[in-house]
Amino acid sequence: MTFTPARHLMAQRWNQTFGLYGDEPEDGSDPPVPIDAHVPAWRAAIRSGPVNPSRWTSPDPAGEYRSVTGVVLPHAHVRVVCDLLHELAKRLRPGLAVGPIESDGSLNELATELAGMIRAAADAWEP
Amino acid sequence: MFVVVIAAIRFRSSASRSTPSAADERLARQPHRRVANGTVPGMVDAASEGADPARHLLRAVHPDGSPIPLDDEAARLQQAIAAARTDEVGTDNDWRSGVVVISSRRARAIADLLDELAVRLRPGLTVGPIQAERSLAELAASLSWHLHGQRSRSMDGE
Repeated sequence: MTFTPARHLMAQRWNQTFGLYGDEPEDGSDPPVPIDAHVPAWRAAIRSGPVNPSRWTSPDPAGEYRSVTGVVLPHAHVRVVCDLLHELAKRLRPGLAVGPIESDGSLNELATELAGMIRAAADAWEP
Repeated sequence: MFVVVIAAIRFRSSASRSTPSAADERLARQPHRRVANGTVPGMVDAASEGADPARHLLRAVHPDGSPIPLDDEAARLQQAIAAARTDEVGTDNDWRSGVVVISSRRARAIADLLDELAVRLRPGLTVGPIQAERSLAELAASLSWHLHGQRSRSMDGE
């Protein structure tokens, strides 16, 4: 199967040690991963627990303490966020052309759902 | 979970001072008008408002409808991340906490980038050769590695 960013994940970890991001092996021993292949696992991960709001005090540049709001991300969510941010980084590489995207739309929905969870927690303390 | 939250955060002082007004904060959070990602009916599409996926942000446009260059979004998010670093002084994602705590500013930046990825993975979307600096790509990668590092620090033996 030939890799194309319109059909496959760009930042998927190939079968290499130490989690390095590399190109697809030319011998075809590690086929590219379709865009939606990991959605079931990623969806289970982000639905395994809540993203909670938090707040604490922190010094500003002048050294005065003020209340700060934040978000508590479970490790399962962090892993998915890391993978998706890396995917975006790859897709914004200068000169890269992509398309048309071949997907069932499920990764689009998952990224939107995860963004909504994180944004809701970030805004939870706001009036 | 609440106990975990408390354990993940090192409180260094309970002192506080006044903060910018709520209206200012809301304006800083939503400087742009969010647009459709293919799953929200009834919203306009950035591409239909003149956005070029190769040069412009797809998740949002300026309030006047003009597209937002990718490099401008990178500059905005870099400012947000710089402020986030200040907010996160006093937090410590300790070993075995099992969670990663980030400031709301960093969280909103991440959510914005996830929304952008969502739009760029919309079935049928075609993007010409990206005509932008590497700044937004590098910022997304940097955020990813930051979270990866914080997660490694707070591993709970999984």
